[in-house]
Amino acid sequence: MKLELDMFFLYGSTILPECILIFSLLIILIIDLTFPKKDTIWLYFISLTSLLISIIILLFQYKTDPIISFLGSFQTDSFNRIFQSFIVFCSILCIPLSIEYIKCAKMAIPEFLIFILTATVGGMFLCGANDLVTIFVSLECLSLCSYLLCGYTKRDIRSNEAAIKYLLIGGTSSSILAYGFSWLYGLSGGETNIQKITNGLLNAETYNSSGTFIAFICILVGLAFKLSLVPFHQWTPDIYEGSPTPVVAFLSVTSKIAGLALATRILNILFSFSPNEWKIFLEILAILSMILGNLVAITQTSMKRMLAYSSISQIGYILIGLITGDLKGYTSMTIYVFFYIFMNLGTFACIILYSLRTGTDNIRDYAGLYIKDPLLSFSLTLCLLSLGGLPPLTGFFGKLYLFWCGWQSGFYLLVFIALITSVISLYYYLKIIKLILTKKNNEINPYIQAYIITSPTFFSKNPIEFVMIFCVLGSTFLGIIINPIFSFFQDSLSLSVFFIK
Amino acid sequence: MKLPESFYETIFLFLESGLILGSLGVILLTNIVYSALFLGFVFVCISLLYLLLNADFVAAAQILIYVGAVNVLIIFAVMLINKKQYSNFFVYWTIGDGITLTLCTSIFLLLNNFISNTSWSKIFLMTKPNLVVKDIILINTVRHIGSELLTEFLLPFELMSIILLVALIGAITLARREKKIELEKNDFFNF
Repeated sequence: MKLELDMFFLYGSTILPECILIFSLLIILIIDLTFPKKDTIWLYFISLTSLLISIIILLFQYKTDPIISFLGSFQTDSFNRIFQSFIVFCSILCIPLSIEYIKCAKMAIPEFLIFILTATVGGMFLCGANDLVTIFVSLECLSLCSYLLCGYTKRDIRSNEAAIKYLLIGGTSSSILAYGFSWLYGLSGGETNIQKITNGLLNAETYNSSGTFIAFICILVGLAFKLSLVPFHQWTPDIYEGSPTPVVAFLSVTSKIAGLALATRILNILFSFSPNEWKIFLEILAILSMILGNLVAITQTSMKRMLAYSSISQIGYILIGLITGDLKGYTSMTIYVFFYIFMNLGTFACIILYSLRTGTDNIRDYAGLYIKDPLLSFSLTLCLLSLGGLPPLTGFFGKLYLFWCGWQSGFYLLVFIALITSVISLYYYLKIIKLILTKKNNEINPYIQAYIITSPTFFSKNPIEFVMIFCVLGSTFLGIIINPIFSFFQDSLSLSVFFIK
Repeated sequence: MKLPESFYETIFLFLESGLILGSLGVILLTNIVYSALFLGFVFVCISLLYLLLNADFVAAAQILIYVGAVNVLIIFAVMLINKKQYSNFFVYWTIGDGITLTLCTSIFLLLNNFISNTSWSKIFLMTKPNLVVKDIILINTVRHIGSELLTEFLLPFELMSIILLVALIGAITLARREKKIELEKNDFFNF
């Protein structure tokens, strides 16, 4: 059998952004091995440059027609391109977030960068994976790096616990997913490519059988674990609390985006013959996530745990767009994911900064922060309000489009519950803001007393503050120009594989 | 080699009973070293089962990876731990265990029902009507797997190499002895 090498060169451009990242992680590894005297600036420079190059390539290839390459293992279309560039964008923002944290925790930097880059590569491959083997392998690539990143602070016992919990839960969910895949493989007569599976199920007339239902349930459970939807969410708060905060910031966006892209592709292509069936199940999961995530978040005392529950509820909102299922729904889902990156990373940047300066994550220790650092408290306030969806901020416009699309498509119950729960979410976000802004003269808490005031000049800021200010600007003002963003995403998404029939 | 059907069925029965007894031994025995050894027995039975199903490559991989690597590691770990033996298995029986047992049994029965209700041979005939059964048996599986890995599954195959690299780095990072750190006061005042 002749290997068609020229085919691979032809298809090379479809995975060029991923190849650049792989190349740069190899360079980082070699530099780390050969030079005994570590110059960490270079390592950051290399990783950030490669991420920038790959996002530029992705931006230039936004509007592509769907191409299937590598004999069916990989598909490129505008939907994948958008989600891949989101993942790269998250990594670009997360690497500056982690610089100071790693320095303070005295952790090794090259390995950290390698894990971040590999997780990015895994997520990017997951967005475009087109057969079951590729889906599974890239999912494991992403998960393995996540486990390692969670346990990266080895001396911290909470980090070890989080890593072990994540490993066990992740392994379980992957095996459930693989079991569902094996049912599909059998029922479609031995196919792994997802388009061929759909054809096989239709040919063998098994698409309506109970076996397909089992496969669907298993795959849905596996995906829900990865997206941390209620009732498969229990791991999220523990892992958020234990892991190093920059890692949590990275995972809370990257794994969500990759999981969402995978869920959209699987549900739309594999189960395209029964759209109403999976919509009902997803609707139940989304409603549960919104209600439980928001209600439990009220009672939390740790900031990271609170954000974990808030992220559970946010994924519930995002699912509205997926359930709606038309072009507008997908566009509003994509926009909300885009805004969510800014809002969530902005909040995490504030928390990382605060915990680095004081060493605490408790909500009550934020009391009276306004006196010491107005910039930090102002940014945290804006990000939290944007997450809650207060009108002039970005989060409001994102939610508005999501809810409007859901309402137009007739998911009244879903949108109604989403509205009520976003009001509840405003309550606990406002509670923190009130704590930050109120001033009790007599009792300033010791953490705030120990807080060091930073230099007021703009140029002596550290990278975390740059990211924080960038994200705050994004989560405040992006909503004003939502119409051009909406039409831009709509134009690109209309070229995607879901809408070209 | 053509053997009568009853011969296969007898071997299959032996293997299945070995599997079930071995798995029961893994959970029920109180000495953890015996449990680990029984686990190795179960892995060998599974690989023989693969051999019976004409999957020689998977059988060899199963023996190499599970018996040769995983199980040996488990036994090493067990010997290093040296924990006290549990006196009785049923002492720790709680209501939660009962609920789990009923759930697992019902899922097992449900899956059993679905698997036996699906007519797998019909699916095969409907999706691949041109393929003759005799051809499939005669395919050299190792060669077939190799060519598939480098053509159809090239992308996941190459991605696996990245995963292995990261797993290696991760294992070294976790196992490496770190320098003892001295918390300097300056660290907090730097920014």
